[in-house]
Amino acid sequence: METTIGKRIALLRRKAGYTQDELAEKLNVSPQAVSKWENDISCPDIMLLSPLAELLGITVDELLNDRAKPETALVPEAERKSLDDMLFKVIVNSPQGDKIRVNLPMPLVRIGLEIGLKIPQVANSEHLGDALKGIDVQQILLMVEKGVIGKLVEVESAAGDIVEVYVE
Amino acid sequence: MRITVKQPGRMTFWMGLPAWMVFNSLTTKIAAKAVESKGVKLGRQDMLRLVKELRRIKRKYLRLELVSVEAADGFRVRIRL
Repeated sequence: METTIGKRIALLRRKAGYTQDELAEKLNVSPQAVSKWENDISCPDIMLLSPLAELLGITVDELLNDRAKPETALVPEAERKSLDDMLFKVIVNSPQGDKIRVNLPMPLVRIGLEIGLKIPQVANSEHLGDALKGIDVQQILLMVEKGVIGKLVEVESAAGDIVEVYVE
Repeated sequence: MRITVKQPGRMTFWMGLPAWMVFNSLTTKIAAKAVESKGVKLGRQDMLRLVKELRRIKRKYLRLELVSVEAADGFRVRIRL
């Protein structure tokens, strides 16, 4: 099924947990402008495509193209990026509307693991630590080395926090 | 490194710290003490390795947003490399 750029923006905005007003504020445009994009009355300015895609957690290409990209992908060996060029992203959305975003370069994660750090120890938060306790970062690293990238983990804690781990 | 704290209805606070001030032997000692309280024992070599990597990352990903926390009430904290 074909989707329009407006529908994609609306879907991705809701997925990222932003309201139209919040997205508008982040992009320094009016909420009406966002509403017009989502209803396919107008399109975002070309200068806004990059920050918009970044806020929605996708690339400009994915924003403009109709082809849906799978959330998790196995990349062939020849096309794989070096681990040194990858980012380990943790996104936490709480039911109260709190949002936490952590971006860590993969080499830092690898060193952290080698010296014995664990995510709950770093998280320093009862709920976040609890939600992340069961995640084996070593296994995630192994998956990434084998070429699996994208959304690798989604956990919902007892408190209702949704934790997602992406490697890109 | 730049730390920004925004509170609705209050003045935005931001602090810019030069990389040399954040990633040095003194801060590694302070960080080692801090993580020790979390039950992780880090040796000097481990900390120096971390600092070396952070310096490399700083050069590679200029202005990378490490942490962004946004509370539902509008309170926002951002830490950028």
